[in-house]
Amino acid sequence: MTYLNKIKIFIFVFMFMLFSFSINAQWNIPADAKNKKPPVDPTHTLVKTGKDLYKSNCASCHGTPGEGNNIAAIGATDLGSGDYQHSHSSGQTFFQVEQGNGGMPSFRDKFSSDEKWCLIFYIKSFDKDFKITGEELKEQKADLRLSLIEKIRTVKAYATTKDKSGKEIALEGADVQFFIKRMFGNMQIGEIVTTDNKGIASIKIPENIPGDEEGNLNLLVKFKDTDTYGKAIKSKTIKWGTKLEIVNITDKREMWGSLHRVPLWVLFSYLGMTIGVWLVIGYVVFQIIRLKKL
Amino acid sequence: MSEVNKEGTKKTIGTIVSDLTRPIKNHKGFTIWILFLLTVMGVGMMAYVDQLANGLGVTAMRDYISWGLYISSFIFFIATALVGMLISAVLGLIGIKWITPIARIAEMIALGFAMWAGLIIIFDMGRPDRALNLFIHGRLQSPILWDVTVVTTYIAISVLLYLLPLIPDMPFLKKAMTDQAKWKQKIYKILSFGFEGRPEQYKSVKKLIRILAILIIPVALAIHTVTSWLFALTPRVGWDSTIFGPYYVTGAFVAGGAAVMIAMFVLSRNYNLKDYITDFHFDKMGKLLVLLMLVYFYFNINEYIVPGYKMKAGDDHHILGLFTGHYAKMFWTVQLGGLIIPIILLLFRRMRKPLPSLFIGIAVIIGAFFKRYIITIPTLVHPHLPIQNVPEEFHSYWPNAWEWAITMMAIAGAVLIITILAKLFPIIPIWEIAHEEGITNEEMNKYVEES
Ligand code: HEC
Repeated sequence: MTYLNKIKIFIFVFMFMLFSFSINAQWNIPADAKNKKPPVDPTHTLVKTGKDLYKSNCASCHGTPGEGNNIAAIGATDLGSGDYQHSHSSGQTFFQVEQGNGGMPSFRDKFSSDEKWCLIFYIKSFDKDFKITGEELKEQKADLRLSLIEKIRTVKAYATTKDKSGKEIALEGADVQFFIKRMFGNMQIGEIVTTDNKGIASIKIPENIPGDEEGNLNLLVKFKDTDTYGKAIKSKTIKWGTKLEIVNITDKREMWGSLHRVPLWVLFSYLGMTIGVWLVIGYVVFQIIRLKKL
Repeated sequence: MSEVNKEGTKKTIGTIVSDLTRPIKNHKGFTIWILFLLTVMGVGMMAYVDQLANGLGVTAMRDYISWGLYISSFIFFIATALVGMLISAVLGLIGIKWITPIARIAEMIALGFAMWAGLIIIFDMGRPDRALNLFIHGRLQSPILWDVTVVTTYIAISVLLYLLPLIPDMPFLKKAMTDQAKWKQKIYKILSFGFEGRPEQYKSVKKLIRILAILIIPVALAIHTVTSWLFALTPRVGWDSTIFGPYYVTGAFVAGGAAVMIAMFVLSRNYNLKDYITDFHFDKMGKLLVLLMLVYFYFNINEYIVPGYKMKAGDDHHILGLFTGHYAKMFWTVQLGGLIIPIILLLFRRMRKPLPSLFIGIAVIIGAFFKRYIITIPTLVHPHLPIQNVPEEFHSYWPNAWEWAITMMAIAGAVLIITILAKLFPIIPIWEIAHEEGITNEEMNKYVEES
């Protein structure tokens, strides 16, 4: 969420300007668009697909539906609110997503028609009266264990789950993401890795990732599909980063430093020239005083 | 027969001494002139006391334009002072003879202006009582510290370069000035440093003059290059230039040359020394000034055409401000009246006669003064960040009465030093003129010993 918040601020800054130009533009929704019906009935699987799409494409502006963490300042509404749900039909929402208006980008070409309907199903799923058919998706609590193979800089993640009898078994086919914690948010390492039949997803950590003074990196591993497998994040400190050298820039001799840190060439040029010239001046004065004796 | 005195017949040491010491004794108009200078300085002093009491706020300088008339006058003073090096060192070392009667005048100008240049820097300080901190906490990396060092050094060498050629004149002065006040005679005695015209003494003095003449060249180049670096080492429009060093140095020679021309006229007329500083000298000086101005003109072309052609962002405001904007009137007046027209005029022999030379010299020196203004102030009007949310008076600058009064005090002060020196010592070296006239050391010594 912190990552999302940062994007929000970023988007806010330039969208606000965009919005101030477009605030007057009203949605213009044709009547037949409002009555457009989905080609299939909503199922739990389709809603789940919509949720994943929403998270990565819409949440930065609209926030999590129903939680009111949308960016109201740019005009992005909370799509889960009762207000919204009551006043917008599925067809209308479909049209709006396709069309865009002002600060709202058009997603006509970004998603297929099916994907768009999945999005609509997800948004509509916050309406209590919205009927979702089909089997409910089952949660499957899973766990991750990490191990390191120093020689080849590789991290192995073992994904396990419990079978019906409560026995621990390898979890196959789960998507696992690897991150390194950075100052602002997390940096994903490589692509998403899917666990094999032994429940193993492994990734090689690249060289030259800057770590702390000892070269430590903070590794974070999690399932991509947190709805199904849970939000557990495993973290581990690994020593594979490059060591951070803290250079105190005011310690060096610099042109902009204080007198005590004057670059040596400046010091010697200055002293050399000044002393040299004044020695000659001194010699001349001495000779003038000696004139009498000549 | 030397070049110095083309028209006249050979002079004897007796006439030279009496010609050159007569004006020192003659007091006509001197008191009034000194009173005038002291009045100007008095007014300036009142302004300065007020500035000391109430701070720099009494000037027109504010946050953005914090280098005003004082600093631009400072460059002008340093510039004018540089002529000592050009005339007595460079031209002297390459053996140019016609400078003999004007070398000391150039050195007097150098001394007067260099000393007051140092004082102007103090005037620009809100808390001069903290000036010592500049030395205690000064950073060797800062051109300002280099400037302080090199100005001090230049003043020291200028004093010596004035004093040294004066020493062999002292025996003549001691003899010629017996009817003068006791304290004057004491000064002559002290400053003779026991010089009695012995050949070894002459040899030593000549050698020392030579050493100083060589030494002052790099120091003088340094003083004005470092002064230009006070500007050029900052990344500001109009100052951020690689040719600022030579640009300043050549500009300095122009200002100093004009100052010498004016001083030549005033002193030769006032002191009735037309036999020593002749039309021939004005002609030569005029030609020298044309050469200097042409070189300076060339630097001006580079300094303004190069950024003017490119019109980089930032530079454009500055350049247009000078060419057609707020500063256009002053800029073109200075460039035309202080440089281009004088160059054209001085190309004609007629214009190198004494009186036209005087007027051209005055035009050039006024131009030189305001040229420093044009270099200093317009840049400050264009800081890197826009000037915002400040009182109206912060946006622009024109020196107010306090600054003019204090600057006038400095100019009067420099002229006062020149006046006093010209009143105490001959403005033309007696012994050098005598040498030029073919008079030997023995003849001179004999003259001194005769009673
Ligand atoms: C860049 C920020 C941004 C993103 C990303 C974004 N929207 Fe919007 N959205 C807006 C804004 C701003 C509005 C209001 C536009 C208006 O009223 O003119 C809006 C309006 C809407 C509306 C109509 C709301 C109403 O009250 O009528 C819907 C529906 C909508 N967005 C859905 C989505 C969906 C679905 C996605 C993801 C595919 C998405 N938006 C992505 C900014 C965004």
